[in-house]
Amino acid sequence: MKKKPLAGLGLVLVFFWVSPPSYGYIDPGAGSFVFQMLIGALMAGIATIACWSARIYAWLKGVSGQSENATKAGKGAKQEKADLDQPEPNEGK
Amino acid sequence: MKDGVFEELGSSFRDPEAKVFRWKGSIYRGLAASYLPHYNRLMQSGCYDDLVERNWLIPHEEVPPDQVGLGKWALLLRPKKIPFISYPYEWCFGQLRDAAHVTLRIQEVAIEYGLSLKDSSAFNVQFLDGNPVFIDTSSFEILPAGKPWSAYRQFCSHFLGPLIWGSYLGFPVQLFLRNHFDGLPLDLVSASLPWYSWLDPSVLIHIHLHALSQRWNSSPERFSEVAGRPYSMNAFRGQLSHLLGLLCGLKKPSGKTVWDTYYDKTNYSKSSFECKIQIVQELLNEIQPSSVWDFGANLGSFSKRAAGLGASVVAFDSDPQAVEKAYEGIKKENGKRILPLLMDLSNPSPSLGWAESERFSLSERGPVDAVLALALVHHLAIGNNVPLERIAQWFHKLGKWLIIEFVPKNDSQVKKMLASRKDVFPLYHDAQFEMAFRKYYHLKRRIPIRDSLRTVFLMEAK
Repeated sequence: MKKKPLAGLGLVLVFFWVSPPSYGYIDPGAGSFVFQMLIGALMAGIATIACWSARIYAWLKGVSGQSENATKAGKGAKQEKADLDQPEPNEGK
Repeated sequence: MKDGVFEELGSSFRDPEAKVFRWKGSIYRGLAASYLPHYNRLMQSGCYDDLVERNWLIPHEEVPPDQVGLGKWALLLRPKKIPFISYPYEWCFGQLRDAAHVTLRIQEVAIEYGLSLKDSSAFNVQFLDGNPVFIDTSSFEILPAGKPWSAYRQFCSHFLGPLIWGSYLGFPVQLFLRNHFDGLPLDLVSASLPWYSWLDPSVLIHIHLHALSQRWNSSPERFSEVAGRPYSMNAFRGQLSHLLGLLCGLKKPSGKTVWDTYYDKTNYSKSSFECKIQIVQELLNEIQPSSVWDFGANLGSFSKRAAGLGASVVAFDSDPQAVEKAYEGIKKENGKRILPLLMDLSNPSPSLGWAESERFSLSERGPVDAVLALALVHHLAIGNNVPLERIAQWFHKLGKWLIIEFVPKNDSQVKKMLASRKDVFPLYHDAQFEMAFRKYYHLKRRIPIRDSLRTVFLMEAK
């Protein structure tokens, strides 16, 4: 008989220990809560990959941009030389 | 409502820290003292300014409660007025997706300011000046450290589920949201999707596996196993980014409908259609309405005429693809005064929710200055067997002015409607039409459309 109140108290303590803390006033759903925790690592990985992909893409774009400029500069120099080699048009004839 | 008495809105009772009410013709959001730390973070961190600048969050002004004699609130907010309150079950796919997008983008910005949305109901979004805007300013809370998003399940039920379902099935499912007030249950969506949806990793995670996880709701042991683990900011960012990607990749339902190409197959000749436009423009110029409901609006050709005069227009149509095209067209033209919505007049939006007072019926959101009912009455009277007098009675509730087009039985469209059924409409003729409407209206103008058997009327409610 003496054990029953203690058992009851224990049950109450267990209830409060496993009850989900409340965030806001809506029911987030314990299942959804757990689910997000479980996929958290996957989501973090996606964020990391996305971040690094963006950085790599920006780096590659920068590198290819530089090489394009170098190619264009080279072509431009060639064109200028070719233009200089052409005789001037003889206007007025 | 008596002046000086505030009227709490029927939809505002779930959040103990904030209430929305109407007082002296304006809407207020009252904040309890316990909410102030969250509100101060929203305002002082720069988050509010950031979101308002992006036109994602409704701007508001602060009103000291004592100034208006409502000292029970710690603070009052008076948000910018929304011309017409609409609901997710009245939106087309594009509107629901844009509302989902703005909710996610707000959450994405908010977490960087140390804040989070404590709920992500689709009812928190309204359309203002043509764009979706978040209206629940008291939904922001200080980001609980190390905890996942408490509104994730609600977001999936209210937004993701209906959008994915509609996208996969190829037809609009928004009307199901009328019955499923807190969004579509995830297990319903999961069970209704085709088998190959399991092959899409995003749908697999956020719908199918998420639906399975709902069984853990009754399993506190499972919860306590993982509750202690922290949820990192990186995980949060990844989750939101993943959801955004999924949203943007969804294809809108593309099934053909009866009225999506209405203007390609009407029986108007070019001159009769131009004449109709001139008549309607003339009548709108005469009455100068500030608010208009255009029923059977289709792509909104006549809604644009009203909007051009400065009226705030809601363009209703029962065809989901017509509403979709109208919405896309208005977005492209940057139209601010027209809101296209899905509405079947034979079964308009009813009052819903607790005590039938959380969401207003169509008529409760009126009356307006003018109602347009062009190329419509034969669908109601012949297509839905609604007697002319009942149509008049119903329109009379909705607006002061009525611009209505009578389509007689010898019109080719009505002939098509009667081709395969018995003509049980002996009273459907112009004399009976005028007699039915004269019970509720003064008939001001009666203008036949050139090269057509149809007539446009201007009526003023008695």
